[in-house]
Amino acid sequence: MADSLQNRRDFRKLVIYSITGGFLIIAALSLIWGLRDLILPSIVGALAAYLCRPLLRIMKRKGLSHSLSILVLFCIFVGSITLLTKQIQSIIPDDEGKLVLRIRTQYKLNVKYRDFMGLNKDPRKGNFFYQMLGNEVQPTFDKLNNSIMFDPGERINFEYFASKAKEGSLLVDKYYNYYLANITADQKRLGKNFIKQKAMEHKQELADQKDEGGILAAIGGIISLWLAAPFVFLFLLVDEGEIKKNLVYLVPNKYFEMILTMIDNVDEAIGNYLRGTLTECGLVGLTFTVCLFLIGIEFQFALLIGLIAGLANAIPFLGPAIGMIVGMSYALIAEEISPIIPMVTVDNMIIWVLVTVGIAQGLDNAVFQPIVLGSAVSLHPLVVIIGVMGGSILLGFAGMLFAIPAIVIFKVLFVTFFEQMKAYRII
Amino acid sequence: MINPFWGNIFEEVLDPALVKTEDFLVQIPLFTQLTKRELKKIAVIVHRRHYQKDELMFEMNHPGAAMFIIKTGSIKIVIPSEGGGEIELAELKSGAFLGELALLDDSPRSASARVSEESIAYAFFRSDLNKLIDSDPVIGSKILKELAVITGQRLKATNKQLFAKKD
Repeated sequence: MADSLQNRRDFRKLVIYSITGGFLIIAALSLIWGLRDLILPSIVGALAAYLCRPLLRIMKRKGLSHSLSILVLFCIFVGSITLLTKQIQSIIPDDEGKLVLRIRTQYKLNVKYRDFMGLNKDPRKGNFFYQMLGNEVQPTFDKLNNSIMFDPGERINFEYFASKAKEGSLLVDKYYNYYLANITADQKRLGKNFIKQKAMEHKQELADQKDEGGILAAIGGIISLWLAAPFVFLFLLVDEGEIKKNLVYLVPNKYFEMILTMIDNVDEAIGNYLRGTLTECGLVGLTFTVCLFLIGIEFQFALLIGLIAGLANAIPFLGPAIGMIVGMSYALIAEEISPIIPMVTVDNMIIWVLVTVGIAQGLDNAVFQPIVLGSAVSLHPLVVIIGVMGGSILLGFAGMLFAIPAIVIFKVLFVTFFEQMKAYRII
Repeated sequence: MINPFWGNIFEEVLDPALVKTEDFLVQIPLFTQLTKRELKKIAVIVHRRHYQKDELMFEMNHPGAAMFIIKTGSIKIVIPSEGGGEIELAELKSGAFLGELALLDDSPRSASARVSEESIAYAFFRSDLNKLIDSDPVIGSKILKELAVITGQRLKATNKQLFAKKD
């Protein structure tokens, strides 16, 4: 009789738990899908809070109260994001600046290409490199030129800006000449096709006007979405374990000790990995910034390139290449530099950027990784490559950036889960 | 005679299940040195669990991760007998704590704990104690000192029992 009552109770329990569990999973999934735009800002906020937890402990150890420590960390988080955004905004060029940047890029690219291929001395034959690689490289280079060159609408806009610029300014003196040289090169390359573009002039201008409204709305949307990051950061720091406690409360008594041990082991391993990776990326970014500043790149740009290179360093194999490309692109269009190292000139700047990449990568492999990452979780190179490719297919750049941490989290989770299951003799 | 109005307001809560966590924890020898503010911090990190009769709180030879403090009910400390049953070593009631060595390392439990009467218990985890030592060394050292004293006392008691058996 008692057994039958217990069985019926167990059955009712199973049904209620299954229905409630199923309902909660569906509700959670539809909520995540509905609020998918908030995922990235929330991840950034959560990640920052997670990384700041040891700092919070240190501050509390030094005698600061919990609330004051959180307030200090929150101010540092919001302050650094504001400063960084302002720095980035200050170097984002306006409409005129964007046109000038493209003119400089195209002009310098053509000059360097002609120099390298020896086309200045002999436009038809070129040098040894041109004879060897010319047939393969030239079409790609032409495509690159076509993608940077101005369309008729942009030409009108640039000429309007040039007509309004003061006599003696860089725009009139230098960049207008670059512009004319680019047009000559475009005409030479495209022939009749260059004239055909004029017909599109009016349409393009209308499209540009529409785009501007779209961009403003998009920027507004992004800012309001990213407001979620500081809130997630704050609430996760304020939490003193209540979230974990409530989750663990749902675990049956039999597995309770095992699950909590597992959560702590996973937390420790992932925390070490993420904090190690962040410190490593920060040090690589700092090396880039300092070296680029020493070779004469303006501090704001050195900081931005350092930031990109440091962030990209989290992507194995591809990261260093991204840092190198960004640095070299700047070196390509650099006009006037004030290097602290005397040997650096505008012409040999690309080589110095390569030296910078070499120093950063050398330090990363010989010093930063062994000291900072130490015995943190390691992955097989094949898993890393497939992970990065898969991440880029699914979520683009963000996917590439988060692919490896996500794989590490799953690896640690599964390894710890099976270790604990064995330790508690469940399997 | 109790005043029907004021008497109820100042009446002592007699049911242990209704006592606030920190007010309950102050009675536990491990936490007697802690101030009320410090006890509140402990109350935040301990996990309240509800156990049915005959349920196992922890099993012999499993790695230990937490110490348990009995709030209500009773727990039997048992080891398996050769005949397949269980030998009862002790029975612990409200206010007692067990598995305290798990706060020091994850060595296997030396006995099992079986619930002999429906119980509520608090679990205090080693990992939480370690974090507490990191963030609040004063609280951490007070707990560790008491833990050392209690372990010493229990060792002395065990030695006494062994000597008594030899004689």
